[in-house]
Amino acid sequence: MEPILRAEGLGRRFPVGDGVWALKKASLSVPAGRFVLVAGPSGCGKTTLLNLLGGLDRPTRGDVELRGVRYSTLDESGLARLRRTEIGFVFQFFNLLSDLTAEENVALPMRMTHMPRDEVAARTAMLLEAVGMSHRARHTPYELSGGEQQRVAVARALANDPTIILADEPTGNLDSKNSTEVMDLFRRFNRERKQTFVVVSHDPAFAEYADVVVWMQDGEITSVEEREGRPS
Amino acid sequence: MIDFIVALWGGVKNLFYSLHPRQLRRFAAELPVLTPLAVRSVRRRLPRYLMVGVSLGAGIIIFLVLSASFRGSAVDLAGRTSPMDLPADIVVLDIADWGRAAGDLGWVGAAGSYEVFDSWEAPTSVGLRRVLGLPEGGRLLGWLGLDHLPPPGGVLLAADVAAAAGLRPGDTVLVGRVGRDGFTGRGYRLAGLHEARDSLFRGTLVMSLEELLELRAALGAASGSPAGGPGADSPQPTALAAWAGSEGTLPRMLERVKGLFPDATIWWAALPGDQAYRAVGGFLAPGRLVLALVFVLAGLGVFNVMLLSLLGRKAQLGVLKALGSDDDEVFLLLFLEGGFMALGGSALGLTGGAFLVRVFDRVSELPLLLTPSALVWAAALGVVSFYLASWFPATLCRRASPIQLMAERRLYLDPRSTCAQCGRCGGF
Repeated sequence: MEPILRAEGLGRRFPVGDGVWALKKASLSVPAGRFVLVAGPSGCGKTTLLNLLGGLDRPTRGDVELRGVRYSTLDESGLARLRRTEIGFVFQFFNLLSDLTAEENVALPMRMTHMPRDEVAARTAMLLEAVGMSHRARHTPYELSGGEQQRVAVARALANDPTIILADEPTGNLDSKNSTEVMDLFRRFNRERKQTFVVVSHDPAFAEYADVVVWMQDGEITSVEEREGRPS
Repeated sequence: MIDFIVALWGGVKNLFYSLHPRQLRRFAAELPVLTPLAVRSVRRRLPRYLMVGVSLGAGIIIFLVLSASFRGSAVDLAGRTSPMDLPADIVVLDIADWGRAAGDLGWVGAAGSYEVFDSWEAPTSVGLRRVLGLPEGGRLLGWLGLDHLPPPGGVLLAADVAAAAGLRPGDTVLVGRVGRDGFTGRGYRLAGLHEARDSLFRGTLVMSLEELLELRAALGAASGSPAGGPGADSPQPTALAAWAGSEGTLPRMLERVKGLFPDATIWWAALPGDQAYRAVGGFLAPGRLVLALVFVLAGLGVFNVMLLSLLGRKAQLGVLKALGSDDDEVFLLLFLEGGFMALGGSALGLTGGAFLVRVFDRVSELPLLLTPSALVWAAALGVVSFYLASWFPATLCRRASPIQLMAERRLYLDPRSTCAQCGRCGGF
């Protein structure tokens, strides 16, 4: 299957002291509709890799290509547009905008693309329903539990029907029950909508959800494991 | 250091770039998305933003009160100089009974930003007389010591004219005025008599050029006889005096007057009051410096709050960028928040300042004079200080990467330069 996301020789060096290579060299292909888990111990470069895949950071070397568009050819505005329309993000600390309600948080990415208001409203309602948060639509993040906030964040990530969703330790700040619920949610969207996911987690237990598990160690990809027979 | 200067220069260029029509059009398109966000943000941090609005408002109030105080003092000082001799035989002249009744002597034309003195002899019941008219509220009124003209004090008449006409102080004379609907007459009390003396301004009618031309034409038509009054065919004025609101417009105006009245002697400036006014202008210069400092302080207040507002929610702004807001949109969002603050502060400052000037004018011994230009300057300086104060925090944020913001790392003017990594300046 033709990959929609491809990373070639990615490296990221941070100029701390003599310079630290957080990511030494990583090449990765993500086919459409797959659920990819990037796993490894803390500090192995998972988040750095995800940031580069999502265009949140620029690599020191190498390049990323999403649906044929090379990030290196885009300026900051181009990269922002790409993030707006093609990529959905889910973060460890949920990162909902605290000034906005749950539904406004979900609607925001759509408003950014100047989608008609009625369409935004309908889609927001549908997404909140899909993540089981309709009853909390008018609540601000402060009034939601961690699990609820992450559900809203998932709905927000799906708002513009992105090509790929990148999740950075989405369960890192949740208890085991909420962690399972969020991962189940990912799997459901992956199965039902053929939504492509790249999820970073230090917990190898979540490997059971993935089609592909990318193992990392010391800033490098050590192995890529294709999995079959995952639970539905 | 060089990196920092380059980054700073880039920021300054961006400052002007953000005012480019194309960029403004883009900003306008993003307003529906960003305005609700900015409103929410301001509402959440209302006390803080309110304090800054009040600081800016206080700056404007101080500016207006000081400005009105300086201006009022200048005018007051000008008024205290020796008034000029009243250089006319007749103060007012009535259009309807031109030359027939000394009691109906009056013509007052309101001037625009400048005043033109026409000079001619008017045939009256007591013979040919020189004419002087002054606009209500005109500057000459004060400088010639005629603040009470026309009401509430009434008008002045030359003593010999009044004697010939049998008029006494307290009698009513009719004053003609150029109004929107044409020429109208109003009765005024004869406040007093004066001895007319021959001087530079003997025989003067005050009005704008347009009014003068209009009046000449109308008088000619009304009287039917050019000899009966200064109609279209009447002699050209023999003396003209003029000044403009600013030095810049005076030469142009004088040129225009010269073209219209080639035979007239043109006299301007050097009025004692004018000289005093100019002398006070020397004091106004350092005063303006103080006023500028007031705005610098108000601007620092806006700067601090905008910076704190940014630093306190780096992560949120980073999320906005991660979700696809580009650098300019985040910049605009911060500007909008500052804009609400500046708008509220300016409204408070302008109304509060105008009110306080009014109050102080009543209770203070020295008059306070609030000019429209001071209001415009206050509003403009408010906008500029807000813009400059918001620019730096907004630029910091515009240039930071989403990761830098979300991880709440220190921000530098140029996040990717070598200077940003050395950390000597500390960053923000």
